[in-house]
Amino acid sequence: MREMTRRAATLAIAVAMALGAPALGVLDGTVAPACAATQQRAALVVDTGTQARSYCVALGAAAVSGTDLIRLAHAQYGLDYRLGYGGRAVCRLDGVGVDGGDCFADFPDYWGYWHGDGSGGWTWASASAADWTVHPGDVEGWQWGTGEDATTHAMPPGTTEEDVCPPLEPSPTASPVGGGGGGGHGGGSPDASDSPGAAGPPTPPATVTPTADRAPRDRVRGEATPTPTPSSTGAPPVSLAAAQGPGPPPADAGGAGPLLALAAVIGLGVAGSIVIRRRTAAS
Amino acid sequence: MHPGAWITWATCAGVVAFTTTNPWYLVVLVAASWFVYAAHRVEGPAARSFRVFLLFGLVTMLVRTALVFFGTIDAASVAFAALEGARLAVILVVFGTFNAVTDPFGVLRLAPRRFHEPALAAALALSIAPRTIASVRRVREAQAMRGIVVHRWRTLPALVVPVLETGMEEAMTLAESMDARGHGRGRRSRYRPQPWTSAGIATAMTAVAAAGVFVIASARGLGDLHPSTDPLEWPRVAPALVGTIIAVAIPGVFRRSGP
Repeated sequence: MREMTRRAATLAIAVAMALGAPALGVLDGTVAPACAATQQRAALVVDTGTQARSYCVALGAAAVSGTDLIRLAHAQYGLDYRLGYGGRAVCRLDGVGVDGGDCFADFPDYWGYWHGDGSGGWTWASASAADWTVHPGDVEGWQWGTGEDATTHAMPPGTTEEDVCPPLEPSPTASPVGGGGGGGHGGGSPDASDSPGAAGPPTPPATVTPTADRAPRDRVRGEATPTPTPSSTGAPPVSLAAAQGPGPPPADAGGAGPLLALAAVIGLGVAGSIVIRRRTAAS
Repeated sequence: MHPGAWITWATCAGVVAFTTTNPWYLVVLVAASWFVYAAHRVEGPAARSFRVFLLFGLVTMLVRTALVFFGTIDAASVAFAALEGARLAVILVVFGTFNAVTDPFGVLRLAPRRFHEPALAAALALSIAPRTIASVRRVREAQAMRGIVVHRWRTLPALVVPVLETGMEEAMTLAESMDARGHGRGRRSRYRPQPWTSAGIATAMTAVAAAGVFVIASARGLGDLHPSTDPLEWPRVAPALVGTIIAVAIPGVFRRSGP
């Protein structure tokens, strides 16, 4: 009896972990910009090969990883993304790239990863974005294209942090923070504290507007201060991604597929049990 | 059914599991394996191998998920690890089904003579799980008669040591007896060769077709075979692929031949 109970408990834990893992996402939502209203910002340039968008991302911390920067841009601007290999590689950005789990399925085309050198140039990243630390004032670039190193892969358009993140009006109550090129305080929320969840008053929503300069590529720039999203009310990623223009086909989580799968599991399970019972009775 | 049909079935079902981490497809594949197991299990100790491999698969999945806790923990990485573990678990379940429905030494008879020795090694490797399960049961019974009830860590050596010894002895006995009967050196007659029945052919062909569909879907990125875990999204399901996995359960509707 005790053994049965123990077995049942083991099974229950296993099933709970299997089913609970996706459900965790509902609680988590996405990486929450805990204190997005601070002045710690970094620039993210996403070049799909046909157009480049830049985002001024509020970091909410003195250091985040390269993949966290993408997640933050998703949370703040609705940047469409998909990571693979357990969050270690970038599969899709801004609707361009691979939809499956293998981020290099379209090789030789893939998302090349560049670090800004601070003066508009780029250096080729030699490690995964998950292992790279982004500090305030940094510029990070992603370029969809071919080429396996700095000499053969195309670069995103030359960008500095000042190009993307506009200088903010200095606030009298703000205490200066020694971050790189960040400077200034979050517009409209000078009294925002650094404690998680204590988001400042709502700031104007983020806009991504095209700019006039079109050389060498069609360039689009996001300039507004991002809206801080408190973690408790953070919208799930899907809805934000849906708000973004180009992206993957919408997920049909409902529909016939899951119903058919459920019916198949129940049908095959019951049929198997009946067969076993009949065979046991016969012998 | 012909052992070749079962090898084909297990290999192809394993390929299907290997190409996807989508929990919907994996769960349907487990159900299909269960149905096939229910209809075709060979009565005896080997019949336990489905359950043993199912439990082993769940443990594998838990361990794979638990490994995440050594790194950065967030919903995305936990979900990714759990799905990878689930895929491995389902491959184990398919293997457990294979063990429960066929005799590994029937597989050995299929090998061409010149490949007899590698085939013998393969058959021994394949049969290690059912043989261990059987010997665990025998040793437990024997120890129970001596008044040793094996259910604690402290009494574990009383179970494990005889089981390992038996396994070694059995392997030696088997190799010696096969050698004595002249296996692997020249002609040997086939006693009651098992014919390929229409059920066997249908089983093998549907399994190959199912594996083909999944390999093609995987190559073309169709059917959400690898649901996104970062951002975490609810996995989508292609009804056609669910139907393909249901077809993997087809051997379950054929009548079992033999005793």
